[in-house]
Amino acid sequence: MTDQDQRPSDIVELVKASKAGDKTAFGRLVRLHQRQAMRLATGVLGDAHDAAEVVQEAFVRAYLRLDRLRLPGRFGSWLLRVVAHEAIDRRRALRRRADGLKPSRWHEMKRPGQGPEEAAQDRDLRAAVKEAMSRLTDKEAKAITLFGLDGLSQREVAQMMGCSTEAVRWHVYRARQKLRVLLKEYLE
Amino acid sequence: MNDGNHDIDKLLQANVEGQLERFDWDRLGDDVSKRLAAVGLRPRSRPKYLGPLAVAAGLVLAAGVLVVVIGRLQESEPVPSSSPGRATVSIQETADGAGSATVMPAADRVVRCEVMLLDSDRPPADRQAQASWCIVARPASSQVESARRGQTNILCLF
Repeated sequence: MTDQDQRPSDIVELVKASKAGDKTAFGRLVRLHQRQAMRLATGVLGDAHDAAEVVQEAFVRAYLRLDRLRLPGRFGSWLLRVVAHEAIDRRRALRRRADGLKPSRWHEMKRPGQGPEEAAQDRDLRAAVKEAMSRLTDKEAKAITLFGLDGLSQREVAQMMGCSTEAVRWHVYRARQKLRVLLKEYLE
Repeated sequence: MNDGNHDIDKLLQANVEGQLERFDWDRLGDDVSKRLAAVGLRPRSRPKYLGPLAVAAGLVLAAGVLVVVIGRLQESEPVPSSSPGRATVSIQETADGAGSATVMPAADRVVRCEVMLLDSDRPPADRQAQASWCIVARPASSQVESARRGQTNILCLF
């Protein structure tokens, strides 16, 4: 059985054990949810390197605040809320820094079998997406990223954002409108 | 979803997945474990009795505030019985000047006693006139008993 096949009852047990101070159990929860957490943080920030720091911080915070999680079975959505919160905080911090919008060295790494030209295109695209995402409001960035995550309904996204489903749809609509203009050359 | 939306969503997804394609997942888990070890703490636990205890403490505090407020309100009302009383002396003409005095030491207390008139500003010729002041004393028979209680036997009444 892979990590992704974990049953909800197993999650509940792992959360209970983690609450009791079992860090191995929490490590298992990390492995189960790290991909979804990284997708969210990378989506909001547009940069996997920044996202990794955010996700680490989010997991540590989540561990220390496990007593606030009343329904252990909802650990996944609760964790994503913590990650989204941390990612938005990081966005604000990056905006204040002069080099905050520059792509990290992560972008310079080539994928296996990738030629220099293709790698350069990738780098440009990532820099452009990161810049474009930074132009969105916090709510727009959060909404369009959560909306694009697999397995999350509009209602769940609304609950995570603390607003109505109509408001989520509006933020997603506005985000798409802006991104269509900002990333025009990459869409053609 | 129209094509424009689809293209945007696809581009964002490709950007994320492309970056995570080479991501070292094991390292992320290790880094989190190291940070947790560095923190060296268990998850903060909130004792189960803390909720009811907080409610009880709140109730006690509210009751205390209520008592103080009521106390303050009562203090601000006029005090009824601390004002000085008055005395009325009616002289019954006798050979030794004895009479009776009705003394109200406070608005809600009335004391009646037998007194001897020692002096007053009433003109001696006008027995119907009222005195504005007088000095009276307890009769000799009462003085012994009263003296034991440390009471004053001579009063100046105005």
